[in-house]
Amino acid sequence: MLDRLTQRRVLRELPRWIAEGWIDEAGAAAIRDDFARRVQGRDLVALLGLLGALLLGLGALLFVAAHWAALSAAARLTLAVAALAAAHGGAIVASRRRPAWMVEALLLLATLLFGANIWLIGQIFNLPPQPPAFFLIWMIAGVATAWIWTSSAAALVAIAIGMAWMVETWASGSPHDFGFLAACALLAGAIARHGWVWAGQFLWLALAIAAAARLALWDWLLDLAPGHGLRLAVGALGMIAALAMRARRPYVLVAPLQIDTRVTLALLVAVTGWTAADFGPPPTGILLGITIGLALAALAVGWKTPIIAGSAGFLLISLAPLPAPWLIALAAAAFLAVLIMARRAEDRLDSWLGGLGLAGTLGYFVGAELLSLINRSVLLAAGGIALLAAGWIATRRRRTRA
Amino acid sequence: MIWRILLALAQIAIVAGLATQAQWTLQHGTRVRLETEPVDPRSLFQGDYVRLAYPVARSPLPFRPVAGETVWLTLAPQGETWSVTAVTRARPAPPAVAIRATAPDKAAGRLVLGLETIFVPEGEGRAIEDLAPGRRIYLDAVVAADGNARPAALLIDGRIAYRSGLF
Repeated sequence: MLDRLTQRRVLRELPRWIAEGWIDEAGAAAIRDDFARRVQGRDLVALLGLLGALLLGLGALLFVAAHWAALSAAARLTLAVAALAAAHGGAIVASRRRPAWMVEALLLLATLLFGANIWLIGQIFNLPPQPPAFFLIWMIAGVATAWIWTSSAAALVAIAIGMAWMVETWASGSPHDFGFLAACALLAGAIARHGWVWAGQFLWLALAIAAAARLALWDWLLDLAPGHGLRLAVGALGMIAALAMRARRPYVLVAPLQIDTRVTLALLVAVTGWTAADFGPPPTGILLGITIGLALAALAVGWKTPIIAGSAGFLLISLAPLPAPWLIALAAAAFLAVLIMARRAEDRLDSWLGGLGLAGTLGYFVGAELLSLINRSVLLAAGGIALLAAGWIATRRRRTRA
Repeated sequence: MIWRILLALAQIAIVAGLATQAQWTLQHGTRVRLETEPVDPRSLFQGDYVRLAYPVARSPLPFRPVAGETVWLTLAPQGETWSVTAVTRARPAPPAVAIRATAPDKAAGRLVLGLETIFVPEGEGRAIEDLAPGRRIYLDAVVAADGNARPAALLIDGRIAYRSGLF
């Protein structure tokens, strides 16, 4: 089956093919219908599976953060290692007979579980919190998974962890450039090997976002160390690449979903807004951050995509140091705004994701008020399992119908 | 297929290796007891922790180290706890017990000992931070052969409140 990028190109070409007389109107309509049917069905099931794996992985991370004293340290580590082994084993078994989305979901879960394992070790042995080396180990594990399995989900997690590493090392002032560059080189190798154009673009944009986050901190610019200069150069190149790509409006495929560069721009908006929030005490800094973020969003997409507002809202609201009732009220208002904007959306999937992001924000803060970390981890895991099961049932029904 | 199995085994081996190395240090290092004071932040991935500050980390320095430079603190038992007897740039010869510390970014900052964190179950960090003045809070640490120190146990009024390690 054609990927969505190719499908879009074909759809753009259809009028010319009709004009040239190569195909007739009926043929073009049949092609459009076929693409629409396949894409909607495939995306929904894959979305369910990946969201399920993501929730399950986040549940595992929250379980670690809860430091649940009812289980001994040895028991918690045994459980975490067993879950990691089970996710890898499940992926190996699923790769023989099961659908591709299930393998991808299990690899996403395995990558998140590896992170949960190393953070758990840091917690059990009281190592310094969030050591940058752990981010690097996690990133390299994700890259290895992406390389060996051709897993785009693992590649995305690795890029996200790389971003977290950049921000973390900048914040703590402890650069480990060599390890990070080695991890990036591995990732670039995996991208080249598998021809993931979107991942290459995403990597550049991720570097640009991390650089943008730090560019806004002027005190850091005044204290420029050689390692910082290197990253600044990489970030600046990324920014230029991002702008160049934006000008040509290419679409970035985030398999199996199709999300264009607006997602990464949304992150850029959110991180810039968050950084701007450092400029003043709340509420001045927060308001300034939100204003800058929304202004950038408006410039970037002309208010036509709710996912921009959803992603920016999610990050800005979750990072804002406001009392929980205010956060809930803010999230509810933003959710309503997204619902209104969704009516003007260019892409239905886009509006769904935007709404989902803000619904998640709202749910998270309500949950944070009502539930402990351990209960939230159980809730997330239960939601993840339910989504995976829904994806599985949908796949079986589709096979039965076929 | 073999690469996929090796990947799974490698990831499990990394986790096991990290845990084994940390447990080895805990069991074979020299145990010292330090006076400490708690404060209470939170880690995104690891939950609540108590941040510990040490009087020994404020020891007067006979030289001015650059940020990030390694500084050696030689320790000796004095009554219930261990205290600093010497601060040097070079590593003291064995059998002296010395912790490898890192000079802070700011001149007035404290030395970083690598012992500043004790993770606690959710919600308990605040209780430790709010302990009444006068309570005796100590940290039992282990000092590895290379001078790196790791927390072994947090003691409040002589009783172990939190312990590091698997067992």
